Amino acid sequence: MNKKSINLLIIAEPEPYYLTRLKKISTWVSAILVSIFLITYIVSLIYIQANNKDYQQMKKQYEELEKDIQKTKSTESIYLTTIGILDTIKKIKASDNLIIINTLPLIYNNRNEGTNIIISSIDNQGPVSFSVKSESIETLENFIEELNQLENNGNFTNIQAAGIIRETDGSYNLSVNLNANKPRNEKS
Amino acid sequence: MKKVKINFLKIFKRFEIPLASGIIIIFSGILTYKLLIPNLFKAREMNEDGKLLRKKITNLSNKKKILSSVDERLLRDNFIKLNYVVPDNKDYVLLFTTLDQLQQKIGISITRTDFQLGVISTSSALLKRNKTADNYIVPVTLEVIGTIEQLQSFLGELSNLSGRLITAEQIKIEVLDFGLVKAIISGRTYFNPLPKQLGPVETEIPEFNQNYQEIFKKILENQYPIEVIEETQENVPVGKNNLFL
Repeated sequence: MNKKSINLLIIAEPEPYYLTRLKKISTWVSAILVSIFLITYIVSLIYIQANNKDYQQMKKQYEELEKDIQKTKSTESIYLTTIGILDTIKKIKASDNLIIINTLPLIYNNRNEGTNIIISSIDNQGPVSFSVKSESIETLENFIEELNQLENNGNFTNIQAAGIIRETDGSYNLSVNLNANKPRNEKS
Repeated sequence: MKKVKINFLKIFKRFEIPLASGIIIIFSGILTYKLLIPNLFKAREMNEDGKLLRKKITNLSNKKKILSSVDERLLRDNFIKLNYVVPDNKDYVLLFTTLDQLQQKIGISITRTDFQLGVISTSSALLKRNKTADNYIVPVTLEVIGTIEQLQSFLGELSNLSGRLITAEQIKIEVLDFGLVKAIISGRTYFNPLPKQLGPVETEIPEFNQNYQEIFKKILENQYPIEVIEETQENVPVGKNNLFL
């Protein structure tokens, strides 16, 4: 007797290639995203916990320091006022070229016999002018020689004779313009 | 109807993995938005606040260190000397006192003093500040008669911090008889209004460095003793610093 066999199992249709690929990719993507989320979240929690402790400690330290400083307010007040004045003096002294105080002895103290400075003007920025009266041409030459020497030493630059007058008594009157240099060793 | 249901189940079964993945991705997105991003912001804020707080603590520690090394008594006792060099207002009395003392000390004769008070009608005068030198300036012109040596000493004393600080800007010298010279000195004297209030507690303060120490030491050495300054101020027959108020 022949038996009839009926196959009740439905033959599975082969999955299309794109579906297999989609299943694979979506599984990977979701797994990676969840992992990234979990790792980042846990790390951020640990970081916040750890830093919160540090932050609270620092805050406490800051408050303590703040209290200590508040107690020394009178010291701070006198200190800042003193520093303010000293700073002002420092700036004033730094801006002072000291040209007048240094040029004056160079012009008046080192002159030869027979020459006299009659009138002079010194600017603290450098320009100097003066008139010198000399008994003879020799003493005048010596004076000019001395000025040249001072120029060679770096005290003056740009020495110019503005005019020379011979007086009736035989004396000479020379007007000089020059530029005085800043002293090399400035000290406040 | 049954057929439709079967078809739907068939399709669902076919796409269950991509659908589940999609749901997980969306859920992760929501959690990221709700939990992770706020956490990251909080962490960043905490980091920045921490840095700021650390900086403030460093400032305060330095400030505490500087202030604890300050000899408050020394500063307080000698403040009058500093104020004598650069007072907190134009203070013409101090200027004339300085010049009187220099006359006595050097023997030079001050024949004329032109002290330009400037604006005196309002307190706006105090606000006119020299931007380049960062200080308040009062122009002064002095006419003096003496020997050239006396003149040199006089110029030195004006700015050696022994009295009111005056710097010479220009000098015109004319030779007189008997070895004397007449000099017209154009210069500047200074004043420095005191700060009215202290800054916030975490404000940095400068150190009392070598420069400041040297100037302070020089003032203490060169200035007249405090008793003399106080006595001089009391002896001057005026009761106020400002002529016009």
